[in-house]
Order: sequence, then structure tokens, then C-alpha cells
Amino acid sequence: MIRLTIDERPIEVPEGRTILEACREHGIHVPTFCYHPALEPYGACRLCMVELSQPTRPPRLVAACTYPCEQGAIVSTDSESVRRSRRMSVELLLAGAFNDPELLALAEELGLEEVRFRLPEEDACVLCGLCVRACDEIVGVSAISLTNRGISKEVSPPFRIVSPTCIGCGTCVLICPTGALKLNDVTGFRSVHLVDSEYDRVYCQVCDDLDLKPSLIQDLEVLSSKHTA
Amino acid sequence: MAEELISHIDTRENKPAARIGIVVCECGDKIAGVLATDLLRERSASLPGVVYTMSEPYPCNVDGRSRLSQAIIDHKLERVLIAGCAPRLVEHLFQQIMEETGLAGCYLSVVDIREQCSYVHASDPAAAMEKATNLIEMGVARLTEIDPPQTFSSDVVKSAMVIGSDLSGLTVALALADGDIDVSLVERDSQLGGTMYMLQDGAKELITESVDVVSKHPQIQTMLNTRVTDVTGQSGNYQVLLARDDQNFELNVGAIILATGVRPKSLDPNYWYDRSLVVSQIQFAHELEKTTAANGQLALHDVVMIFHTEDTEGGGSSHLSCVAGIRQAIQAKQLNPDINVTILFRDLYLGEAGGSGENLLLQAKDLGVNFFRYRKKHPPFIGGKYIKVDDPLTDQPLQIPCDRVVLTTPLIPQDNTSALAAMLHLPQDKKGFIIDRRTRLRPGNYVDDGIFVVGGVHYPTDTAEALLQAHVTAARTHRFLGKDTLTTAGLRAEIDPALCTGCGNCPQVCPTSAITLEKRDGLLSLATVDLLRCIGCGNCLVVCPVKAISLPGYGDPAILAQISAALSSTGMEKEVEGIDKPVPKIVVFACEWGAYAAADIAGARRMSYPADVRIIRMNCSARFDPNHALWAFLNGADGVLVGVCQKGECHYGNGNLYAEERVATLRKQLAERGFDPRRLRLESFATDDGFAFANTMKTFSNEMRK
Repeated sequence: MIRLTIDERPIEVPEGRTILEACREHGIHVPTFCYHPALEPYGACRLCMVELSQPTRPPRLVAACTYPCEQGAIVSTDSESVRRSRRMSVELLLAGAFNDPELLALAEELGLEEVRFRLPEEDACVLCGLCVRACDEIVGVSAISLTNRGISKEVSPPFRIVSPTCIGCGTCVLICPTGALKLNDVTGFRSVHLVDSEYDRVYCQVCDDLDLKPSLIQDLEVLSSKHTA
Repeated sequence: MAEELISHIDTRENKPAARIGIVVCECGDKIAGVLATDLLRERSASLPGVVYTMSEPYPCNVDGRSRLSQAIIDHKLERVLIAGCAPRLVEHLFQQIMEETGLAGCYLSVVDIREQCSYVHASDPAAAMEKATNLIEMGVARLTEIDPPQTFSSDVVKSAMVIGSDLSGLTVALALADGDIDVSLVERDSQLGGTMYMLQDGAKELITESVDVVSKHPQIQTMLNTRVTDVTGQSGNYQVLLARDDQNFELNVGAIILATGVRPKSLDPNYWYDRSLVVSQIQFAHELEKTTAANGQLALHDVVMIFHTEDTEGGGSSHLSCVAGIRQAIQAKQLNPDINVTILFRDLYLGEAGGSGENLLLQAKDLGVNFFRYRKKHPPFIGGKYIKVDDPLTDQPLQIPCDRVVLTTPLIPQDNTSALAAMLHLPQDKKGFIIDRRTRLRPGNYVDDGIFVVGGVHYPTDTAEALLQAHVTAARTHRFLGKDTLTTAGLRAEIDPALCTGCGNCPQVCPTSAITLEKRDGLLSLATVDLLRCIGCGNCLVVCPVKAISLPGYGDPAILAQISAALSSTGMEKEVEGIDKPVPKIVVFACEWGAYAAADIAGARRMSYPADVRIIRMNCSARFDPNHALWAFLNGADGVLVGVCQKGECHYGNGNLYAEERVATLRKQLAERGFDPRRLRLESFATDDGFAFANTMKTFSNEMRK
């Protein structure tokens, strides 16, 4: 077991837990944006920054979602430097996703009055990487990835060519926190696969009726009598 | 039929109810901020069969998960219900926990009280609370009625079949047989070894050696002149039908290795040339070999090699034939330095496993082999004594004298590849080669466990590649066959032979032709499902007149129980203030990939819609049975909506079209009996169109209100 102090509370956690997991376990609120428990932590949004002090080192900020709990660490989740860092991160995230209710609530809580930056598009991608990780870890196909570097970094299928591995499940769209990702960005065209055979009408071998069983008529009778009664 | 189903539910075993555990997720304050999770927990504790409830701030967190697995063990839970977020995000996490504690993953039900309640009905917490309670009731009802899991655990047959006996096929067969596995080597030719070894450096010696060992090996059964005509069964236990001459026989193997290799494409009959002058690369290889063996001189003056490229699919040149051609040029030069050797090419591929053919190219140039590129527009013209070609560098026509032309045609998969690929359900590229599904991640791994592909049937392979692939595949096959039993997961339909009348309805609608009718004693035939092909869409369940087919988790009892639970809630009886009519109750049968996904998105984007909508998750809309709609109406639903995928997007073939047909028929029948057909509706949704979902629900609810 590892003993550490979070917000002046002595806490004991099994080995291998991250600071965020320890906080969640003990009811200490740490805001997150790019974290999802079903996925590997990624540390992209920097909202979960906490202040870590160790006996031998000066205090510093670390991402709680990726940083493991260490013996004797003293963690502060709400110090002034943490709040300052978060305020900046929220402001930057809001520059792209300025409609996100959770971010707006967090901005208010942190006393952020004005967002100084703004990306041209509404609901912009903030590169949290949730969709890419979900495609890999939940769906298991890795049809999309983060491509390019710097300001041209974006989510797209490799080489911007429709990935044959994509199954069109829409998990990436579902997990996208800002609504930036559309399925069309991934599949390019709508069709999951071509329907190569014409649809044939099928008749029941027993009653020559289309898919309907003889007893169904009785049900309908019951239903209509109940309805008219 | 409805009565029959009720009696079916009633008589369904009077066994003790399954022990159900419920976890109510607070999701920080995303759920707890709107719903009173403690109250939900209290309410759900009184549901039938529920023996344990807990609420967790984050059940998906590591510690939350470990508490769940502890609870499963401590309270001997048999079914688990998670009231949390969208099932598709967390289902696999919780299934993993259940499987770790020895519980089948299909005994999990994730009820979405976040995307379907707290997110969309945040403005009306009371309604959200009622709906959440009801959703949990529905989930419990489903878990109570769920079919026992089907596990197709079958014993792995400790034998393998290798189709094709080129270098890679022989090597795999030997490697497996040396590892104490019985191998059947199936070759459609009358001898082992194939023909392509003449192009692979050093392959002839290897093959001669291997053929010798193979023919003496006690664990290898060689079947010459034999063709594979059908493959059925499943991973680890395949039944293979073989034909030799006019004789059919069956083979039972655990793994199948496809090693049918490549062949040179035959030239388009439109090409005309003097056939006494022109030989193929393989013929020339034999000629060179003969001369070398006889220590003779090559009685030729001018040899021209043409690396032919066609502008059709599969017409490209390959590194195997290019490198082999250069090697032949060198050999010819070494046999007789006075020969003029010229190579005409459009593309020169030199890549080789473990290096490249670059050194060979330099060596050939040093020996004085001439290389000319030719253009697509001006292919070489083979005359009687000369070859005419335009040199693109000088733009001058060239006349190259020749007394032997070696024509290299593109290498393509064997002509039986398509048939075999269809039998084994392997995807092919445009050229006909078998494609690796995820080349970058797991080369050599194909769709079905137990089916492996090796050598030229993926792409022309040289000696080193063929050997490498063969050994990798042998190792994989060995590991696969090392398991004693194999449990296949996934949804599969199962037919109860005691109930099946052999009417022939289900084979008609099966999108993958997985169901076949078999003769059995007496008048009736029997339908059987090929588990290898079944994709679990549930279409067959709908058309079965005697309901002999089951699909775990989506059986009729489970679906009907959910409908009953959805409509029995007292919450739905409440009247909305200001409107004298009660809020309409709408049951939505949502296809997992279309409508359900759209509903998830609507929730995630917090687009609100009427709270009295109950969504029943179906795997595919093909599973929608007209009985389900009738059952909903009989239980007091005001509207039934069948949500399907958009046209051409059904993940199971044509499930949405079947649903459309069924809804249309039922509407007609309802109208004939004086029942307003507008109460039954079919809508298609794009996977990510949450807006359409919320809107449709609003308009449908408004229509019902009138």
C-alpha cells in the first residue's frame, strides 16, 4: 500500500493507482476532459493538473490522470498554482469548444471571466484523443488516428483515405466531448458496405403469407376488439 | 402466437430466480446531479430477483471495478445490471470483470441512465427519475428472462490441413508435423512442389529435399489430385469435403492453412508473337538449368527479356519475377559471356526480404546486361528476328536482334483462389490476392482463428519470404492447436432440433446462407446453423413459425419482458400539467448500429425529447418481430417506432429492409382491423444523427397526443 496526502487528507491506495484514481476513490473532485475510465489515460487536456510536493523536490504540477501515486507524496488539488493552470487550460479549450456546458461550468467555478482566444469554427476539435483511443481500445480497429504535428494536427483515417477497418459504429462520435467529430470525417462516404444483392421478398413456406404467422390474425382480432371496445 | 408466447414465459422453468446485482453509477455528478441515485438504489432493491445493490461514484474506476468483482463473489451474483452510461462505451469493461469472476459476459445488462435520463431530461428531474427507475425495471426484466449463454466450446482437433504444396506449403507442413501434429497436405496437381520454385532462388533444392522428407513423414498424409469442395464447421473443428477423381471424402481438421501460391498470368490472346521464339520465364529457367547441368554452352546469341506489365488489375510486375529475371540474365552471361542479354521493362521492383536485388542489378550491369525502359504507349513489338521498341531516353526507335525472347507475365493468384476464399470467408483485394485484415498490427492473422494464409496467395514471395512466413505461420498454428478447447464468443442463432419442423423459412432470409436444411428420418427435414457463417442478426427467429430458434440476449421472452416492464411503470400513467391527455407512451425498437447509436448521440449532445420514450436495444432491426409491436400495443403502448439503419448501411446485410417490409405489412393489417396504423412507424437513422432522433421522438409524441 502507498501512503500519501491529498488535500491534507492522509490516503492509502494500492500500488499502481494514478493520483486521479485515488482522488476519485476518495471523493476528491478533480476536473477532467480527455479522461475516460474505459481508456488508457492520455494527459492531453491538462485540466487534471495537481500540485505534487515530494520531500526532496520543489513542488510542481503533474497530470493526475497519468501520474502514479508515490509513497509520501503531498498532493494539492486546489492550490493557487493549480487553479491558475486550470484557468489557462479551460480558456484554451474554450477557444475551440465554447459551447461545452461542462467547460463553461468549470470556467465559472475557476473565476474565468473572459475567453481571450477563439478558433473560427464552432465545436472545434481540441485533440483530446478520446475518439482515437476509443476506436483502438473499445472497438479494437484503429480506423482513425491523430495525424500531422503542431497546428496541423488532426483526427483522420491514415493518409486521409477511408479506412477499410472502420465498421461505422459511431463510437468515436459518441465519445467526442465537443461534437467536433462527425462520422462523415471518418467514413468519408456514408455506406458501410455495398449492398450487392437485391432484396427479395420472402414468403412463408407454411402459410404463403409474408413473414406473418396464421395465429397473428387472431392477435389482431383481439387487439382490434379491445381497441374498439 | 402472443398467447403461445405468454404461456411460454409462464411455463418457463419454475426454477429459482437468478440472483441479480445492481450497480447504480453516479458518474461524479453527471448522473447524481440530476437523479437521486440513493433512491434509485432503494427502488431497485425491491425488484424481483435483486439480491444486492450498490451505488458508486465511478464504478468503472479501478477500485469500483474491484468492488464489483468482490460483490459478485461475496453475494454469489448470477446477473449484473449496471445503471450508468452508454453501453457501448463500458460494456466490454464490465464484461471483462464478470468473465474474470467466472460469470458469462452475456449476463450483463448496461442500462443507460446518463445519455437517456440525466442528460436529456435534466430540466425535469422528476420525469428523469421515473424513467430511470423504469429503465432499471426493464433491465432487470431482461436479465430475468435472458437465455443461458451459448458457449460453442468445442474440442480442438489436433490436426491441420495445408492446401497447396509450394515452398511455403511444404515448409509449414513439415514444421507442423515435426511438432507432432497430423498434417493433411492437399495438392490438386499430380505432384508436390508447384511450379513457381524455378523463380525462387535456391528453392528447387529445398523443395526436392522437403518433398523427400514429406513423403516419408509418418504424420503427413499427402493427397494428390485432390480438390477442396466445401468447408464447414468452426475454428478448431472444420469439416472439409474433398474430391479426388470422382470420389468424395471428408476430413476433420483443427486448422486450415492456405498456401495455394501464384501463377504467371496467361497472355491476352490479342497479343500475337512467334511462339517458337518466345518462352516463359519458367521455361527459360529450365533451359538454363539443363545447360548448367550438362556443362554445356548456351547456344544463343541475343537474349531479350521482357518484363511485361499490363494496365489491368493484377497486371503489375512483381519483385519476384524482376529479381528472378535479373538472376537469369546473370546466369546466362556466366554460361556464355558472348551472349547479348537485354532486359526491357516498364517497372523494376527489386525489394527482397532481408535486403534488395540492388546488388544483382549492379552485378548484371557489370556483366554487360543492357537495360531499356519502354513506355506504356509503345510496348515492344516482337518481330521475326528483331524486337522493336522506342527508347524513352533518346526518343529513338530501337531494333534489338533476338534469337530468344523471355516473356515475364504478371504473377496472379491461382485460379481457384476465389473459390477457396469464398469457402474460408477470406477477403480478397482487386487482384485476387488474400488481404491481411490488419497488416500493420498482426501480419499473418486472418479473419477466423484457425485459418492461416501463407506464401504467394497474399503476394508473390521469394524464397526468404516464403520460408519466413511458413515458419511464422507454423508457430501460430501450433499455438492455436495447443489449446484443448476453444470457446467462441459472439451472438449465434441456435435451432432446437426438437421443435424445428424443417419448413424452410429460415434459410430463405439468412443473409449469410448459414442455415441449411438437412434430411432427417421421417417426413420433416431439419434446419441447421453453420456457426462459422452465422452473424447473429436474428432474422431467422422472426420467420420461424414454431419459434425453435434462440439468440442469447435477444430471445422473445427477454424482449417481451422488457416491453411489459416498460409499459407497466406507474410513472407512465402520470398526467402532464396543463394537458388533459396523458403523455403518450412510446416504445422504440432500436437497432444497435442506427437508432440506438443515434439515441446515444442525442443524449451525449443533450438534445431533449419526451421522457416517456422507452428504447429497447436490438442487435439488428431484422430481429424486429411484428409480435413485438402487437405485444406493446396490447400492453398499452400508444406508439411503436422501429428505428433502423439507413439504406445500404445495415451491418447485417438487409435487416433494415426486412423490418420495413414487416412494418408495412403489419400497418396494412392493423388498418384493415380499424386500428390507426400511424401508431406504428418505421424510421431510419444515420449512426451519428442524434438530432434526427430527438426530433423524430418529439414529432411522433406530438402526433400521438392528438
